[in-house]
Amino acid sequence: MKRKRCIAFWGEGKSCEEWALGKTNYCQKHQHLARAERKVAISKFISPELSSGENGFLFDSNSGNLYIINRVGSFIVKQFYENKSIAEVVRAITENYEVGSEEALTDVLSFVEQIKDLGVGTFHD
Amino acid sequence: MIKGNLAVTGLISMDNPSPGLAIVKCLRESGQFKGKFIGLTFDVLSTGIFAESLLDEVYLIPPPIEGENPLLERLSEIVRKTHIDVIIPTLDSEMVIYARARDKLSAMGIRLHIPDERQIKIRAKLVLPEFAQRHNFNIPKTIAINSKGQLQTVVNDLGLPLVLKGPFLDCHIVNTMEEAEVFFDRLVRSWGFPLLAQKYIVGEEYNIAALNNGDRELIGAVTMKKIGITRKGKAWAGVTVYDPDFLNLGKKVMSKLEWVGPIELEFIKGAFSQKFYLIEVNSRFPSWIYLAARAGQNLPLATFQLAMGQRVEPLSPYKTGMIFYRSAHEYIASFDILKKITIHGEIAYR
Repeated sequence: MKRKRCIAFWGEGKSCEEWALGKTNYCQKHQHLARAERKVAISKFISPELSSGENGFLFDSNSGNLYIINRVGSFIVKQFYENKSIAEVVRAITENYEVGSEEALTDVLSFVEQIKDLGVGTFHD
Repeated sequence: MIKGNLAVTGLISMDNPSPGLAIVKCLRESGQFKGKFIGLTFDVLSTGIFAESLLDEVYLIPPPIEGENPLLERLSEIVRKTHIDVIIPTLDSEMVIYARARDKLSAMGIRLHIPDERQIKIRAKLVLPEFAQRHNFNIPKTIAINSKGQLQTVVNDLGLPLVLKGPFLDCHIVNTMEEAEVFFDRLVRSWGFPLLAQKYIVGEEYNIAALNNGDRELIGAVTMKKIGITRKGKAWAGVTVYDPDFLNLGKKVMSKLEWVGPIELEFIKGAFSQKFYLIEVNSRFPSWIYLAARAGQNLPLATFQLAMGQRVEPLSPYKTGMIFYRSAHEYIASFDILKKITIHGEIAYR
């Protein structure tokens, strides 16, 4: 398989000199950007209550667990229901809230890990 | 419209309510039932005696400990005064009696839709561990205790906390050896030997209320997760959930029991293992059965129909996320009601 360069800075006039890992387009250091291309599917057992501008909650009708999520969490989950990728969600957050893209990406990835651990969402493969 | 007269037992509705009044609510509020609701109780202070809004008539009957003949004698008196089409018994202590008396009750015109004596006995607490192991259902390690001398050995084996259970009813979680001794004595005084000691599983409780027809086919099943538990371990709040794997596990248990009639299956989902452990099988509806009806599966109404010999199709899927909260309710009645039930053994509100 032909090796390819990491595309982390494509479109920014810079280049990452490292080789991309496996089938991804990113090197080890920029793997978080590979995760950002993925989409998250919310479990079919989740009944969301996501009013705009307020806290929301997610009821898991499989386990009976109830999760209270804050305003930003509600915003993120709504984006996932609209089939947005993590990168698109990050862009939407930076447009709606006063936060930089790197911080937003870290927070969204952390949120995704939490909902995956709880069985609320999975990566869309 | 489904027509007939229903009698229920289990009219106590205090901190650990019996299912009788909940079953009456299921039919009364269904909008599909027309008939009388008759309460049968052996306790003059049963709260349900005073539930005028729910029951049309109430009769005292002998307690289960007196056995089959006094019950049949009393019921034959009652049916000379009022017509009973179906009895739905709800107390663990009386299920075998009703199962044995089925034919004699039928001769009086009273129908039942309950399991037979064999089925009731093979899910009894004492033999449930053996049943579970035979069919590869997870069950907490259980040891029968026949003397106080065994207690320390059992505690060493199962560790603390553990669950002490009477052979038929009652259970306590004990956290120390001292507590184990106190509750051991209490349980032996109430129920005799053997007691059961069961390993305590950390986890959340999930129960299934279900109903099979006479051909052992599933008519309906509703799963509830307990979200509020009293100090006695009884649910005071719960929510309907749907886990297809869990429901299939419940169906498998019912299939191995060759079950007919109402049933409640109690499980604990291990917090660490995430496995479902079978804790108890009750041969009657649970006290939270009204939740099942409000979630869309009126299992008591279906039971009435089956008892009347009607064909009942499997019920539609129920709604998840329906919550029940149990609260104290006071019935106010004049002293005349207590006098009537005590002296005459019956009350007719309507």
